[in-house]
Amino acid sequence: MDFVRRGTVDWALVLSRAAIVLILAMIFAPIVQVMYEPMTRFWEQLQVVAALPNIGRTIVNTFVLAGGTLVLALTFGTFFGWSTGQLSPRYARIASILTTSSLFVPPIAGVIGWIFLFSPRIGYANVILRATPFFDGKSGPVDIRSLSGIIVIDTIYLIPFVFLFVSTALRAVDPALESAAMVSGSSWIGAQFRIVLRIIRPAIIYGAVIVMLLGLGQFTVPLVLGSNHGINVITTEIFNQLEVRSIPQEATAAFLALPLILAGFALVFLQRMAVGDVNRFSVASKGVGGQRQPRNYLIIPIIIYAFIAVVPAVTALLIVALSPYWSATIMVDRFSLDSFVEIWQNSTIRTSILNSIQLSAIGVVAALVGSFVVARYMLSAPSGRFSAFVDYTINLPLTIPHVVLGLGIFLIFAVGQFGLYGSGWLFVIAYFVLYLPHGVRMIQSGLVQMGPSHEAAARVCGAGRLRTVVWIILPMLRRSVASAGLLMFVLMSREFSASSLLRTPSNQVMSTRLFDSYNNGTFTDTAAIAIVMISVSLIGVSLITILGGRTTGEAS
Amino acid sequence: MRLAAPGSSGTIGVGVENLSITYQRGRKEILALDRISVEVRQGELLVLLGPSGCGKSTLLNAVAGLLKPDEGRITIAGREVFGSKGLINVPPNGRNLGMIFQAYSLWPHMTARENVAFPLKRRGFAQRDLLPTVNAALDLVRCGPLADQYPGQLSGGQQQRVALARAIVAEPAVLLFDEPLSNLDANLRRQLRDEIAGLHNRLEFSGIYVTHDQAEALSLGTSVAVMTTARIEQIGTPQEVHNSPVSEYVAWFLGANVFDATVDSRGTVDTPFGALSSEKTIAKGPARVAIYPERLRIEPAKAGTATITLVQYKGTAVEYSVQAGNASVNVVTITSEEPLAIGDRVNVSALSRDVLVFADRGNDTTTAAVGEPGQTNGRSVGP
Repeated sequence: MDFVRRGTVDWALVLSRAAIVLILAMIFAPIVQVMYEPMTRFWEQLQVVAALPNIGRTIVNTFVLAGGTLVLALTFGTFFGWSTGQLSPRYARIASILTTSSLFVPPIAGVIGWIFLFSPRIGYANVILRATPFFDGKSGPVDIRSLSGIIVIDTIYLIPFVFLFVSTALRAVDPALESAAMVSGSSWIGAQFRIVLRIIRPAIIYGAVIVMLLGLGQFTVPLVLGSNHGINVITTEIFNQLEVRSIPQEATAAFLALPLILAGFALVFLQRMAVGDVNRFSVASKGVGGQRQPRNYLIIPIIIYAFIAVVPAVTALLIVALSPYWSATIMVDRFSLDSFVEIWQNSTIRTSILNSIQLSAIGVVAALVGSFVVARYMLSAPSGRFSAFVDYTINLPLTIPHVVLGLGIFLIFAVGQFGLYGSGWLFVIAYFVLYLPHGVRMIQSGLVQMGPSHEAAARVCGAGRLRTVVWIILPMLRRSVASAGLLMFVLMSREFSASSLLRTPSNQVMSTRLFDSYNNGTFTDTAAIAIVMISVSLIGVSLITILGGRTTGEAS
Repeated sequence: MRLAAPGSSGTIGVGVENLSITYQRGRKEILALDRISVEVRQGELLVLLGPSGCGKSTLLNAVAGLLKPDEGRITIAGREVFGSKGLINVPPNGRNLGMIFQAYSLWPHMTARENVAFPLKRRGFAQRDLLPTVNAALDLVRCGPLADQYPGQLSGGQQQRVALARAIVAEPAVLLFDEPLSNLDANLRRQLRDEIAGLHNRLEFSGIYVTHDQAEALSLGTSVAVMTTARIEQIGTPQEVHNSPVSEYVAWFLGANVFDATVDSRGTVDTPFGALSSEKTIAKGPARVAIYPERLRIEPAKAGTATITLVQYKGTAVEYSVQAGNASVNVVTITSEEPLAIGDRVNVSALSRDVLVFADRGNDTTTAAVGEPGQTNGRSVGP
């Protein structure tokens, strides 16, 4: 590397390389810490974990949850992605927005909305169902606080991920390949199965691996729906070891996290094996094929999904937030904004909301700078082992459950020599590590689209490295930077899994305060905080949609 | 392998009657085909020639069943596949077709052999019965040794050969070609064009071939249909279309120079290049003249009527741009002598049978098509 040119030190280059090393350390340290902790006393911890009550059930639940969501989300996500490819361009844009609309609703808020709907005795939907001739009794027919309830709700939140992989891959498939199959004697349906779905198989496998990983690491939904009712998965057991036990059992929690980290490594490896030689499947197509006859009726299932994913839960939250208390009857005449006034007057809730906004803003600035430095490095670096290593490391937070990374950050920065216990900086560090991959990906695609020629032109015209970045690259990238910043803000401000381990009673963010509020049984406050969270998300996501159109979906 | 049934020549391979298609583009309705009728006899290769957007690919896709027309009738090998006001609409897989696409469109997840075997499998052949046929088809396009390669491992020319094998392997009633050579470089295009012509001679298939390249159209077609927006301007043998174009548009699209002239009462054609005589007689008055660049002659002369403005050396031939007044023509000469230079004065002449004269209808179709209103500009190749 040429740090020194013409005898002067290139400080910009030195600084950016130092920043990359620091970023790698920040990602690696928590993971290594979580893996190191159980290794020191492996057999002892193994016995402790084996003796945990219901540990066998917890492991089975984890796999049932991951497997169930995998099958369901893969089926629906692939179907919706494929359907979108059959629509006319205008309908396809609408379908994309609809399918990803469940991302507007933060899971921690949404899942509580579902409880308001399907709580056995006074859930609104259950009350309505009991009023029909098909059901009677004082409770049920649906109990959302069950393993199948957890699977269904998790599926709703995972469908968009599969959808994004499949629809992006489908866009690259030349419609003429389908036409060729049809004139060769295949029916339309036959062409879909024999040709189209086979060609996008790598994308489907990739989506499956991501959903499997997300399913294994699911935390929010099982915690809220299952934990209080004795239904645990590995992630919620980690939470229990740190938060519920009177003395936090860090080593046990780390031991439980170990298989999740290893599963992440293994699945990414298996995925690369399964997809095999990717180049074999890519043909240089100049994209001049025919056009498909649009089948716009295929948008109907997508509309139904989007409705189910968003409307009932948000409506239930709104009703509870406006009511004086949560009961089986909806008291429209007693609707008021009292609970919103109440959460604003409650200093701990108000502080948590302001905390979320402030810490997310700091996190966004840090992550944007980090993303830019890494993205520039990835594009300029020679394709060697080190750059492959950087690429792999930056994307590690995508394959490891947030609750595990939260545990690692807690172990290193809260209780270790940094001693940040109770500090807001813990959240900033977590947000930075968790969402850096999203930022890098968006900024990198912005840089790729821009191409190297503008930078070269500026350098040839006599601008130095720093001047080129400030006057040429950043202004040209402003859309990507704004979209990336907003997306990361939305994701950070709703983050719950890692935050739940980092918060202290006096140092909370919006999502953790929402969870406490729910556990304390102050449901109207809970609903009001949830509505505030959803509003923040909605504003952010709408701004991104206005700004960048399609880039939103591809990055989340 | 033989695609034509013996003794079946003269019967209709593809029949298209009064076919219309409109597109919805935004709020606007665009007429892509305007009551088109055309016939392809058994063993005939009909070339649809026209600029992009004229509807030639739309017509091909309608025959394939990939697009549903608004009205009209389509028959393939005597069977109605679209008609009765849309009540009959056989899907593509029921039409017994072979099709070759511009971007090759081989399925990337199947080997060359699997690609070629696909149409046979869909027609119910057992795995062991179809192998000899598949290998024969691959050998026919000289791709036998590439059978186990994936499309991503083949060059463009090889991919298009395999696509050709895939199209002919099931001996379909009709072969459809959708600009199959336009993604290939010049040498390969020439080579593959010869191979398609050779295959047509040997297999005597009926086919429709879409292209915007006039050289390809004239050398491949047993008949050529020149299309303008949504309709067919002229249909005939390559010689008829080339030597007796029905309009200045057809002549211009096939490469002729087109410029203004006046016909006097004795039938002499007065042009900026001097007086010419034509075998074609039209009424006196303003007219448009079309002459192919290869059929114009130039003679150096001190007091010549025209000036050379551009010289392009093309190896065996030299192409000149020659200007007189505000008219400019291209002239191709084959000569081993030292070429003339820019600024040289010349006289321009042509045989009377090569001077094609059309009544001036006021609307300049040739220049309107390339968006140069008010400027006469001969060109040797289509747009």
